[in-house]
Amino acid sequence: MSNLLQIHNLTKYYVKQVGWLKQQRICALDAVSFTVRQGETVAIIGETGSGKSTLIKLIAGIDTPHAGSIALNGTLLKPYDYKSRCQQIRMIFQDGLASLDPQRNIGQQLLEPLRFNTDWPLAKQHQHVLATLERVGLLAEHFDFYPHMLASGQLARVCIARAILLNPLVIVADEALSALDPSIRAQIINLLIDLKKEMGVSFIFSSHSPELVRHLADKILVLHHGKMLEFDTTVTLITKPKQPLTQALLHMENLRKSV
Amino acid sequence: MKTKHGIYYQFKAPSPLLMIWREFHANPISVAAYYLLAVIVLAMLLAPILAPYSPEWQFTDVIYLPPAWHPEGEMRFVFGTDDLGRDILSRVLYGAWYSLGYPLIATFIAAFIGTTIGAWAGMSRGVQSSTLTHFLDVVLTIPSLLLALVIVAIFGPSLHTVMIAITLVLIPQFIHSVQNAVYTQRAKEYVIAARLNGCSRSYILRRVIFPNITSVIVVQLTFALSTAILDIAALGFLGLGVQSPAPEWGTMLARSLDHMYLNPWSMLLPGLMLFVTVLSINILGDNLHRAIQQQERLS
Repeated sequence: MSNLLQIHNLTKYYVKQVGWLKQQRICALDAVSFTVRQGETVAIIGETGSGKSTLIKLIAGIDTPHAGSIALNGTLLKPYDYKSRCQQIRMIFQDGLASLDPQRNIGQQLLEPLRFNTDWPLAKQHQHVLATLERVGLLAEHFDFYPHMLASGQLARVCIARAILLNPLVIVADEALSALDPSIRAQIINLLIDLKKEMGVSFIFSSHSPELVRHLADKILVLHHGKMLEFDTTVTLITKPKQPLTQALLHMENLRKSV
Repeated sequence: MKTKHGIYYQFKAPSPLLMIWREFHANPISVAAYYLLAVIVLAMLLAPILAPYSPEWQFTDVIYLPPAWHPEGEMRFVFGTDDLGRDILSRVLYGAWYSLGYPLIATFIAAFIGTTIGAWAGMSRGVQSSTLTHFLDVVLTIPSLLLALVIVAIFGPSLHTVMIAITLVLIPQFIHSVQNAVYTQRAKEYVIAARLNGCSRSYILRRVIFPNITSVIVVQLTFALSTAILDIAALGFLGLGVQSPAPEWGTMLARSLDHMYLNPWSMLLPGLMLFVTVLSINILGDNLHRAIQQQERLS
């Protein structure tokens, strides 16, 4: 298996206005580089404010980095080039309700990526959307539903459907599962694992939950204040973590039990 | 799109617009205002059929005639006649064209121009956007009637000038509210999702942002309409707007003011119509706004 996604020296600042003319730079990501192979699942863990969301946003293309590059299959991705990026990298949003337009029904919103990225006839687009809805465990009649009529689990499924619609190479998710109930969360995790097996897609996600990370991830990336602390396979990091922070993050449930 | 409906969901998904309408329809006051305005608009459109006489025809034998229910009134002139013997009912009906029709046209033109510029300003960022915002803030500090007065004072009083003045005065409010709405919408997650779907900018503006800011535009539209009606009437009252033979409500009020002690009736109908029209438009706008907010809270 070859390297699919190469991330090199990715750096991002947030500029904060201090007083009149003075600006303070807050470093959200500091020279992060790693590679993801095809079909690999990478978990990004770290404390709140360690740059997990920023990294996900940069990979998905919502934000542009100040330095560094993201290359997919050896070709560099240009910032703001959504047309070519969105066919290969798709994002699952955290809040299903907020990321779906309340004024249009599910079907119209799922047709959108097909309309702009394929030259299929309309009938084929409809068919593909219905097939995808069924693939993520929804019914064909959900096509006509508006987002506020669906439950949170169904919304998460719609978001996943939107992500897999274009058969991407990479799917990124920013705490996509943290807002769900435990039982629904388990269903969605199983769905993601099934889809990953079927499609051979690389999955990059950030999470606060050590159980989920250990269950799902092949590799773990530990961020601390925007710097990459460790990047290794899950087994190595669980058994022989080099940093105390990794140890703390991955064995949080021990802490919880002791409290 | 036709889908087979299963056993679980037996209702048809109501669209957000339909839900707003239902919410709006549940309130009796808003429904009353809605039908009142509908009747007024209908009367305006059917004025040539409904009006018994021409608005400018002078019956020299019946000057200062009180309404029909008054002992001295005549059934021929239901609301009486004015100082030149013109039928007040006909004048008010035809006057609706000046006092409601022209404000409507001015409002829609202003809404179109203002929404276009506002959407452009909302989608742009940096110097372009902030220049426009600050310029508009300066314009918005001047009261609309004063601004209209200045424009009329420069170009001279006539119907065209008043129309242009009112339209120009209304545009900044539309730009301001639409720009703000677009700006807030741009940060929403579904707009970001649409951007990540590879949609073009114009598609995002038309299909994603615009349906979500319709509420803002509709509410602004009703407020602008009542402003336009009042401004045109005020300009007419001051003698700066539509000129005298034309049966504009504000002009009629100003004229009847001179004969208030001789014939107080001639003030009644134009003033009442102005009051009822503006009141129903304001109630309509308020309740529409409330219904839209309610629907947004539910969804």
